[in-house]
Amino acid sequence: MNKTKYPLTPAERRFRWWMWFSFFMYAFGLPFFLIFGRQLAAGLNRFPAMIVHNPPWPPAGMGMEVIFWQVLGVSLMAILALVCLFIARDVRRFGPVILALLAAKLVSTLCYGGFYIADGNGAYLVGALTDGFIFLLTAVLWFMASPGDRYLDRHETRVLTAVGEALLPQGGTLPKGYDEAQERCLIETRRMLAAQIEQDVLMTRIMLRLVDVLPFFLGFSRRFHNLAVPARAAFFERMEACRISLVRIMATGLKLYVVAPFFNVPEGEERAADESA
Amino acid sequence: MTGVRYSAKVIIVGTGAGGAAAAAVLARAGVDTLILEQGRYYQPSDHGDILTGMRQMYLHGGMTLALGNPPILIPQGCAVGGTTIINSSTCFRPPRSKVDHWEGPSWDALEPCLREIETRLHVAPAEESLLGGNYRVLKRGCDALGIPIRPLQHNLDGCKGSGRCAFGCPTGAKQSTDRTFIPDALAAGARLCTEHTVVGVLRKGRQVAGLEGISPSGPFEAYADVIILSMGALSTPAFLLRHRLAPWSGRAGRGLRIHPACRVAAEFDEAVDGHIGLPQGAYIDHWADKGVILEGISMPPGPLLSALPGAGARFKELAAHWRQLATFGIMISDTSAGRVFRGIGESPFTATYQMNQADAEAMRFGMVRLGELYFAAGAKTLYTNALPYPVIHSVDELRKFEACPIKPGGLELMAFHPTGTCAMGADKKTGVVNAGLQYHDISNLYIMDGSVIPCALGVNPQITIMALAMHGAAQLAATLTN
Repeated sequence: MNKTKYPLTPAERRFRWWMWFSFFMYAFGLPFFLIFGRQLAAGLNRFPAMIVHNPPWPPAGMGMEVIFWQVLGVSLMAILALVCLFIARDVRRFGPVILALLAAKLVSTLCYGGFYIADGNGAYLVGALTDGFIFLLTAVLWFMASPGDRYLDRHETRVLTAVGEALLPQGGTLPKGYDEAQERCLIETRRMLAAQIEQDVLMTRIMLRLVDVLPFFLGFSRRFHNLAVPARAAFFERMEACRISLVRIMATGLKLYVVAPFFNVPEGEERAADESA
Repeated sequence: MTGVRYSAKVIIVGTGAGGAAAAAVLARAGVDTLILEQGRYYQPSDHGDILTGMRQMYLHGGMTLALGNPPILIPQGCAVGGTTIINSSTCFRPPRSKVDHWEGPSWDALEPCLREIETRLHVAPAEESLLGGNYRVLKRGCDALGIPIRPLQHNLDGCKGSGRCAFGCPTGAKQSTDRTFIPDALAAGARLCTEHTVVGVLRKGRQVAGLEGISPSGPFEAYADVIILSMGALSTPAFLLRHRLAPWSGRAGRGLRIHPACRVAAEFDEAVDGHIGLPQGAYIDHWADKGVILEGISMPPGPLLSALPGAGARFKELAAHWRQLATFGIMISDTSAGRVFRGIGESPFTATYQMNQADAEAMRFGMVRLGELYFAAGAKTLYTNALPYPVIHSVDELRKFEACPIKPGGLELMAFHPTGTCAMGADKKTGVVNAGLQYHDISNLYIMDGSVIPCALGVNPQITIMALAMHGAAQLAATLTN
């Protein structure tokens, strides 16, 4: 089913499996919800009274108004089923469409949660927990799968490039900067990542995203990749001198991904020596 | 699992120092031996640039970590030759004092093995012409302060000083096991299956009947009377734990020793050119009684510069003068101990290691002594990467660094010689294997790698591992052929 040139990564295979599962759940759940949807919420609210003698949650309505909105709910399920089907058939091409499902599940989780706090209907709590779980699982699987065989997604690549520009700016005794060698360096970095296991690649991606937002915690108003190059360099030096070893390790790790590829050119030593001479 | 089916008298998993030496002994004794190796068989002509070397020959691209504060990188080889293909080719005999104290083969039993190994691997002190700029500048400091510096012994044959020991020797001079014991074993009739990853164990009652795994051509099963695990001190205990072979004593995976190490770089006015010659040419054991050994370590510009502090124009300026940088390493005989657990997900193992305060101070002691030697040799600046003094400009600052409080988390560490996780011991209470490296709990399972060494040796362990494996394999061969 995969239409792209390279085989799917393990993360992409997991995400595709989840999309097939979701498609069947939505597709076969659709007629169920159309027929039994009205009874479902009422049943959920009556459930506590069936097993204990505690007072039941408030009764759920079953009138025409419920049917009116139920139709819209079922139509949303049809959309989600189609979204999942498209993604499952070609993860790399249609993967970003998952944002539609994530948006729907985030909104439903927040609304269910809010109404449960306001009204105390148990059906709302069940809805918030179910949709919240689907949202989280889908988001995590998508995050892990999204770069595919590129290992870093567009945003992470931008942050890595920003680190490279900060560490190795243009000018000076070695005139060439990271931005001039960026394409070659990024290919090398991806090759480095390709040799690692999935957990290590994931850690690198999380590291890049953390570094990008770290300036907010230190009083800056911009993310790392939006800082001016000298400010980025100064910030990076602060990371290297940080007493928290995890922060220092992040700086060291990112430096390796930038500096090692930059100098890993054929006859690298001689070339660098010539330039410095 | 179905697929290709192999059978042999003995199966050895791994081709590093232990597995290869054992394979050569067994095959020469006429035992039908099958060697399974996860990595590929590389020839010197396959060794390209630094990053290609890391990708091809390092387990997980070199990102194997022991978790702790700080996390410690422990590079492991993953090719025919195991870690011997990426080590610095340094050879030390095990310290007699350590051998006399362990519950394993005696010195007299090991000595003939050590001699045979040294002959086969062409172990000899490095020639002065190969010691390079790192040695030259540090010797100046040593001469000024009256500290002896000596060339290390290496397993080399025709070294041209390309400085790439850690990324696969491009000239084939390094006598790693892929160039020595594995060809010996193959010549004697052993079979080698590369890119064969073992993923399961086939049981027969309390014995191990065989192994199952995957290869590029599909799944395989391999049956043998005896199984030898030689996957290294990190992977072997994790394998035992994952496949429920670990002893009830709970000793498998405990007692991890790693020889923590760090390096100090020094900037000189002159060109040092440390990347030319042997990366680990010389050593200083003047402070060995404190558990500290200084050993050469030099790297090409990429890995060298990525470990130096700084960013922006200042860092770039330092990078421009990388040929003026000298580096030397500090290795301590650790008193801390870590632990290996079964791996999570794709990872074959999870290792934890928390350095204690005494080891952190021993590391700082080594850094300060090295700093004194460098300043005596005329260094302008030292780069320690240790908090609170990652950069040191004078002897006065070095004194402040020596006097200030230091924490393990403030150091930037690597480690190279994991041992101790399946230690030798006379019985089940004190060890995982006996002196013949036979597993206490399962009579047809043997462990022949660094994990059986029950202590931190304080020196590079490849010769010791080979000698132990050779001794254990000779005993096993005698049993099998009788």
